[in-house]
Amino acid sequence: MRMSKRIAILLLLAATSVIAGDFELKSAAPLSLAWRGAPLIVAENAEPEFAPKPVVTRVDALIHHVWRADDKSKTRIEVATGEDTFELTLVRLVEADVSGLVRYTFTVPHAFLDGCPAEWIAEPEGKTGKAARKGVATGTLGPRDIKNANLITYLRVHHPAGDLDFDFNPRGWWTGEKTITPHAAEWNMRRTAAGYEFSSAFSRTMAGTLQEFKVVIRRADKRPVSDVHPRVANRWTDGYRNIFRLDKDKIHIERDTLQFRVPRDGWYMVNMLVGATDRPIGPCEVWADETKKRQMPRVAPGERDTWTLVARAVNETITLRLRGDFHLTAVGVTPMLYENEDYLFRRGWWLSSQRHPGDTLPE
Amino acid sequence: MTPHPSLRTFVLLALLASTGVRAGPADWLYNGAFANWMTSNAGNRYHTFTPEAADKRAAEIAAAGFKAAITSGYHFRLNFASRDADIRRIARVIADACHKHGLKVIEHHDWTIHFYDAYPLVFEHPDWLQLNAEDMLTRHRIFCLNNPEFQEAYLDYLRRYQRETNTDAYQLDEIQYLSREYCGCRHCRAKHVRDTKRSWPPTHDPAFWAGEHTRADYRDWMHWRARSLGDFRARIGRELRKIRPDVAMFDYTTMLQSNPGGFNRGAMIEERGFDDDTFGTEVNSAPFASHPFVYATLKSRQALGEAHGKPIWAKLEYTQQTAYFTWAFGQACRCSLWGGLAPVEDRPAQEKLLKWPHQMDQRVARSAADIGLFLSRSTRDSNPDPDHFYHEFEGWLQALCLTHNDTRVLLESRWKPGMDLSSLKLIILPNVTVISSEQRALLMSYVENGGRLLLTACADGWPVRRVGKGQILHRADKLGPLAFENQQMPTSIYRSAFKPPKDPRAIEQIGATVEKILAGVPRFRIEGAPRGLLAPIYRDGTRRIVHLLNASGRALKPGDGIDNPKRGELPMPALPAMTLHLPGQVSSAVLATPERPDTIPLEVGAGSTIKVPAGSFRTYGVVYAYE
Repeated sequence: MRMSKRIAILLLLAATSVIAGDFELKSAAPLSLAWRGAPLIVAENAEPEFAPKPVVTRVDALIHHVWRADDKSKTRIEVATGEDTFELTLVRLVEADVSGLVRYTFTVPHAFLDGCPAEWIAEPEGKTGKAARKGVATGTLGPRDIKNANLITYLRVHHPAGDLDFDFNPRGWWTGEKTITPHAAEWNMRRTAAGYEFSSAFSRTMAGTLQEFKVVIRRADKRPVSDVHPRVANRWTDGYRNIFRLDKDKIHIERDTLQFRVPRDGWYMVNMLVGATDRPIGPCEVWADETKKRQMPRVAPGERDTWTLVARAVNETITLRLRGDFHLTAVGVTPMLYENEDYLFRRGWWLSSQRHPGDTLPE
Repeated sequence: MTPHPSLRTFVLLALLASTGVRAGPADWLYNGAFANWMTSNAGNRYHTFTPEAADKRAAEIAAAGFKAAITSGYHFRLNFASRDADIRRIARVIADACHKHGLKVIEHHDWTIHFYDAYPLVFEHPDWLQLNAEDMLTRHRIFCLNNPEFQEAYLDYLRRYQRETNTDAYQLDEIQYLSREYCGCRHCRAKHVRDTKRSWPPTHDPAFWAGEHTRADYRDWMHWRARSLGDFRARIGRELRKIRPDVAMFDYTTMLQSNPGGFNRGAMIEERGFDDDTFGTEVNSAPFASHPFVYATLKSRQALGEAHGKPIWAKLEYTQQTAYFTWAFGQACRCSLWGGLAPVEDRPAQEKLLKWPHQMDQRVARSAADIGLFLSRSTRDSNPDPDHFYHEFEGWLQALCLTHNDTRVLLESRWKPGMDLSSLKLIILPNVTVISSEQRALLMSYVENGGRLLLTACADGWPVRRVGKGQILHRADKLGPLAFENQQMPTSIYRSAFKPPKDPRAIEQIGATVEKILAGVPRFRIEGAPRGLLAPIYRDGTRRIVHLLNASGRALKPGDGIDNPKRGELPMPALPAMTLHLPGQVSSAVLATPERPDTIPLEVGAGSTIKVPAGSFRTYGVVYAYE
């Protein structure tokens, strides 16, 4: 097939709307999106400017892959539209000398957000309401109310057509130390003549940089805003705190199966205190659903040791199986990765393995 | 047959490479300034990933007079495991550019703490994580440094990094414990038994934690933990030197772990750095605003460096407005600096400072202070209350320095029977409640031969009177905790505010006490200097070197913000004429300052006095006195 024909087809595909539930992707490049019939994203732009000719590939019915490259920058974008979720994932390498900002911006029209009550994990500027929960600001978007917000990590909009969440850090934060948490992006919102501009930027790049983020827009989570990505530690110096501990008299093991309830689905570290004064303990194999068996070490008489494994909680239940000799005197359970933040095990950061031949960007 | 010199060299290098043994610290580690390459912590390294961009950056750093670049970014390295190949590739680009411009490369990262992206490794090896020895159920985000599997994994990472990047030095962060309760994993237990031939202490017993320093088993355990960190660091160094014999290892601690009083997370000061090439400290505060604390803390580090024959360095926060003062602070503390590439607005240009020909040679200069302050680890370890020893020690040290009574820290850990203390005119024991019979005998011998011993607070068992040719004196109150000024952290980062000492009058009382004891005794002192002029003295062969650093303009009130100024200059009151008194012979003296192109000959008077005219310098000058 001649290249021009291929490009023509690609452009045709790119121009084709994808309707998947609530979201309608009108264009992957430049990005144009509607939600329940209302224009949601009407423009996108970048500084330095994107390479002018995007290569858009429709990976499947729901996923578009966009590649933009010139001698100044290379950009990989994945746009995915689901039943009630929209994902925008970007990695961009700016190669040449850059004296100013490296910034990506998408624009939401005034008509979509003006007058909408909103909840933020952010620092909005203007008339804010009393926060229902610590760290969550509330207020109404509009020209006479809240026009700007800084350091946004989460936004919930109470739109007349339904509640909508903008999740700017879908992996969660886990600690409050932004500068040491990998991939933590902070977004800003500015109400301009063009609409509400949401942007993520890096400054003082001097010679180039790598910009990367994922934004997830979805039907509002049932949980309060502050609970979608609960912070589990204030600093890296905080240990993994056990959310509960079972002592000997509360550990019920039936048919070598230990089950307990946890507050939400995800991945948990389970520590088992093992030992007996009068006899050795072990050997023992321990495993959980979706994890491989772990051979736990023997424990000498009078000694204590800790057997540890990571288990996935499904339906808010962790099920451990033990085969061999064991004697548990306490069990401690601590969350490591919640299901809604899992872009490591249950799925990857990128939904598609589609890559342009010239794409040497990191994953 | 005598081998050809080049063959000898080859054989020696091959031998060194095979054993991981190395010579003393390299010259480039002294009088050094190490520039940040570009970014830090969660920042990426793509800023300078092309040879052209790296070359440009290396040229800038070299032209400014730095000796090395510190590569940061992707700091919590485990979280970027999928990018390792890219990280190494870019590191090689940086190293090649630096080497072309005569710069060394110091790699700074952490491979012990994990967050999200390292979970595949953590989920595979959750038992590598540090374990709380008290409850045996709480683990931490730091891998256990005594876990042999973890050690091998980290060493594999470093070996590959070294082979592929040709890095010159490593500054490995967070090789430490979370807190005093860590780590109780089975590998720690086994190593403890192997190393000490003693059973694991009763960490399951609440009385063990409640008794803490009052219990010998607790103290022994804490020291063993500290030495274990050194064991791993030493192993890293040995392994990397098998690949390249001159790889340098930087000790690395934050200030919390560098003061002589605290060690719950890391190693106590006297257990640090045996197998490293440097003693370093991430100070994270502006030395002008926090000079009493930072200066005194670096005094202890300096003592450690001199004792081990190793350089020290510090990471000090500075801005364009404070870069000159900060550079001078490093000179006065015999300390290399880790800092950014910042234009200097408050006087001489950065490259002029870093290449200044009148710098004291830190390789050979040693403290010539004639007052000694005893850092008694035994006393510190016996009582966790900081007012018991640490604040008494540190308060006296700060006050002595602020009142122009330059002081050497005497490390108990380095005391040996028969050591020569005769150069000291006064030794101070700051509430030293625990002292060995050998140490006591050494001090009694010092006094009998004419020395002066000042005991503060505790005088149990000492004869407070004239002894032989010398004298033992006692000051019953504890002035140290009153004079002690804690570290002043930057307000912009820590939302902190200036907290003065509990009773600043204690500083003058300490100064007056020493003046009275040493009245009429030939010693180093300064007449006419304002409070806040820092004046350490060193000896370099037959020369004595006195640094004069003007910190007298600090005027902070309680609650004031304590950041580096973003505009304007540091307050720098004009200095009056001063007279330096040096014991012994002085035939001539000159003053050098970066503020003047030429040195100033100084008038040497009777009794080895040196006159420093008013206005000789504004911020910093150094006097070289020749015998």
